[in-house]
Amino acid sequence: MDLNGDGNIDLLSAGYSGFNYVLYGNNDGSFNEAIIIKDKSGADITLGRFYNFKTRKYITLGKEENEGRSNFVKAHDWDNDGDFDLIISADSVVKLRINEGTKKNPEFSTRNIEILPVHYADAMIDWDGDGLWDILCGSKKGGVYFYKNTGKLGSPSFGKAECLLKSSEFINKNFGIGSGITQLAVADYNNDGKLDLIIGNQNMVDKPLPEFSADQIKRRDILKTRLDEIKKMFAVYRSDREKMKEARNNKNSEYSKLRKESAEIYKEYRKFIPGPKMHGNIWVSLRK
Amino acid sequence: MNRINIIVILILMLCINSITISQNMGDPFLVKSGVDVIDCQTLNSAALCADYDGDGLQDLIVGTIRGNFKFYKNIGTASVPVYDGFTLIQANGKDALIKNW
Repeated sequence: MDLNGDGNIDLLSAGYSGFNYVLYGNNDGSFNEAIIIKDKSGADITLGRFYNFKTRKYITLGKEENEGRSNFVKAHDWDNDGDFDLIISADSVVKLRINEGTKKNPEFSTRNIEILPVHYADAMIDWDGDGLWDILCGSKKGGVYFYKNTGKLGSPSFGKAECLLKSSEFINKNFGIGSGITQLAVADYNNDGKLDLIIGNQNMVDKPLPEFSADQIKRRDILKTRLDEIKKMFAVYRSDREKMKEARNNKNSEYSKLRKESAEIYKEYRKFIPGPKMHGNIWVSLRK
Repeated sequence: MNRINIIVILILMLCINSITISQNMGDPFLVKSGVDVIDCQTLNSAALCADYDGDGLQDLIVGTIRGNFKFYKNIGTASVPVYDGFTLIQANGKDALIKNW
């Protein structure tokens, strides 16, 4: 997309910092370094939660201004006035920053306007061919959803979601045990004239365990026995909140020592237990 | 109206009010680079298809948790894209980077 209308392709991206970035393109196809997109007042555009690179901590603005951490951004002409507006998404909210400037000199509004209470507006495209662009989005729990635009050009409106792909369809057929967050793009992947889905997801795959020797099994059982003992001791603390609070604040308490010990044991024990391994995969679903 | 009819009506009402399921998408398949499935590890990544190098074929661009952008050149055709390895997209002569933390 060309955010500043100079004829060069720009790259837009959010991340985990809560800021939205643009890498302006040059006429030779190269890009400039990422810069944070600002509103017309010069303030960074966020959803109210963002990372402070100096203190290395997240900052959350007041309750009213905090709408989440922006981690997906798209440029789209929401109001059909010929320039790009910004659509910014957090985990379960999609907000709009209207471009009050022009195509070549974007000036984004200073307030976020709520569009949909959903997970990321990943793609805005005329999916059903009725002449109005629709919204397609991934999901925190996997799956792909379609929001039909039931409004009109310049004044979009959306109804209920239609599930295009269920979460269960993103499970690796061989070792898969689950699918996490999905994000998607729309393109004619196989050049057949129909729009397809390109989906990134968090794919959980069972970690295969190796064969263990008799000594390793013996060691595993010792660790497991001790972890069970510690678990029982923790249960005593959990039954008395005051006692637990006091013990937590005292680094030399039995509770603190047990926590440290269990963490150490678990480091070694975890290699003996199966568990999910996370993968970030890319999937394609072709439209029939 | 017997009990079965009531249950059927209740189920139908629930279906009408819940999300409908589309039937016109093919089974999702994992995209490969060479013989291996593309894996950004740890977390999900966003991908997009665009003709990045201007050769008329759509390439694949994938964001990563490190804040880089992987460019998978389409070495196949328009109808059967094939990818074999990636390079990182550059900005001002360095790996383009979105600062996450």
